[in-house]
Amino acid sequence: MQEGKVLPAAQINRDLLRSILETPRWFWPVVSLLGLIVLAASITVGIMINTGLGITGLNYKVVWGFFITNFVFWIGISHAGVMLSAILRLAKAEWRRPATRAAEVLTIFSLMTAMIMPIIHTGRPWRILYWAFPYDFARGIWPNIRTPLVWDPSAILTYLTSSTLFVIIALVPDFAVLRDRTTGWPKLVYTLLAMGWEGNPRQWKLQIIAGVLLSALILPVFVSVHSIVSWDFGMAVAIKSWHSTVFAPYFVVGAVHSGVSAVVFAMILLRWAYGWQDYIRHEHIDALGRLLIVVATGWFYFLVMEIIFGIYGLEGDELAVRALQFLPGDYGVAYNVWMIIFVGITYFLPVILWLPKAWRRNLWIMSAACISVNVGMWLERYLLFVPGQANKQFQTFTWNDYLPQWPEALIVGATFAFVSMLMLLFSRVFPLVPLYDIKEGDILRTEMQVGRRTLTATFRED
Amino acid sequence: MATQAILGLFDDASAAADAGDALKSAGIPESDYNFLTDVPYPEGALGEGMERHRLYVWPLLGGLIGLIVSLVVAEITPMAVPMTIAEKPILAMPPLAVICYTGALLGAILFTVVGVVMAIRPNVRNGLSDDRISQGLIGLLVNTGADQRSQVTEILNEAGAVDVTTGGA
Repeated sequence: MQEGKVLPAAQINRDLLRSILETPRWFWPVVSLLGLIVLAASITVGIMINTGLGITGLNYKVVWGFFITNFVFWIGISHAGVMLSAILRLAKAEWRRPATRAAEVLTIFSLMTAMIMPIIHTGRPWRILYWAFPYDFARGIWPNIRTPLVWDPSAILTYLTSSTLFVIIALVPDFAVLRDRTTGWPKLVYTLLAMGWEGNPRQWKLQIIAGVLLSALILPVFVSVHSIVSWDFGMAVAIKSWHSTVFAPYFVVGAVHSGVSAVVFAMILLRWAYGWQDYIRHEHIDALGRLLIVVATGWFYFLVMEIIFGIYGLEGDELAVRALQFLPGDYGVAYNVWMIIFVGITYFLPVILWLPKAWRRNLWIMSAACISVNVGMWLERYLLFVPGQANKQFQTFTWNDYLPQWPEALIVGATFAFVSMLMLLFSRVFPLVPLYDIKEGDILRTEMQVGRRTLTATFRED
Repeated sequence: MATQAILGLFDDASAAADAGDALKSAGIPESDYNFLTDVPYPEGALGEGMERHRLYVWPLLGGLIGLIVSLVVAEITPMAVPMTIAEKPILAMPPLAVICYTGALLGAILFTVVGVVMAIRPNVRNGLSDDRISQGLIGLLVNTGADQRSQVTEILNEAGAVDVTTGGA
């Protein structure tokens, strides 16, 4: 049964545009604090470029550490946008309405952040031009399209472009509402962005069809992006535990797991920050919690499969990596302890918290569960990438371990501040809950009598 | 003859639809009036005719162009500047498939958006809008000659318009 009440359009405008037309007192101090963290990380990147990657914990053996872990993590978070918006839009799921915009915007900012990580990781960021783009005509340096490291930027740029356009098209009617409510140069900007939107039936029809078309087109991109990211590892024959055929679906499901959890947490924060209790309701968080149980269990299946696939071949090097991951031993880093923590906080703890309905409707518990998933998913990537590189292989003289240093920790930590800051700045200029989507849900809503119960129902047009 | 814009505002979809029917009965062509709403009503709910569009052509065209461009980048480039790495073939199908897949989808999405932007352009605006439309009222904008002005205003009022405003000539 649907909850909440039908609200007048004027109140919906007032509530959902409050973040734009009024500035909460906490807004600029919080944005400034986040900006300072980002600034500190930017200076650190500058120092790293000047000094070299030697100030990180990366070494001859472990060349992909915190930065690449963080890259995959943010790519994963970005999957929530399409998962929620496109799939639920195509399925006409009614509870998607308040969640889609925040999810789509989180996709864009996560992708932007993810793309920064490998650029920083190269140590010589400007050389990425030769690596990814057919650019250096004079010296005949061309990208090697046979490597997934070239497929990767092409897929991510496609996803970023698609997601951005998806959000812009969905925002057009809301730009028009803002155009009619602002003055001066903001009005000029919103007028340009609204592209002459007046809300006639032809425009609405095209807007809805565009949403369906773009949803259908963006879904294959969504699947391909994390598949291709997984091939960055899966195609690497030399590193045991990476070369696995199960990586693509494993990565995609894992991305949805962490991404949807992140969206739930972001929605709870927005509800609290802007007082959107009438829009982001307990029923929405509850529905997402139920979805997350299914996604988490699918992810857990692939986790187990990935381990079984690795062990099943009984190759010595592969078994050695698995021993490093799962068994206690005389290593610098106790990977087995981290492995237990990771599985516990990524699957068992959150799923237990999501099972009772009352807990799914408790926003504190849901927040804790979603943070737990994301800490766990970050650890998952780390434990997937580093032990394979650190493991002692046939060239015993190259044996090494990896201990991340402060620049890596600071830069990785600052990416969270960066995404949060961008989300807040976005909410200052564009509505994070789609106005017309909420209003559409309200005009199609009615009450119906079933026996002795009065239920709220929403009509759906086929 | 100079036309004039008249905007009737309704707080009920049925009343707006009735007003549209009355305008039609009065001989005003459908191309001369339009409903303005802040929410997508189901098609036909306001009595408007079914809109035809060719938006589906754009992703097909874009997909084809994206496919061709990515094919050129992924295959012609390595052939023009062959780099032998390990024992990998210069022309390899899996990378080709990956790049072409991504390129075709990117082309389809870009062209879809171009198609949407071109298609949602409004007809000539009369500069007559009302903020109350974004607060839930339904606007019925009529372009009419000066001779029919009083008749249109009367029709809108009789259908239950909460307000009727008139734009410049």
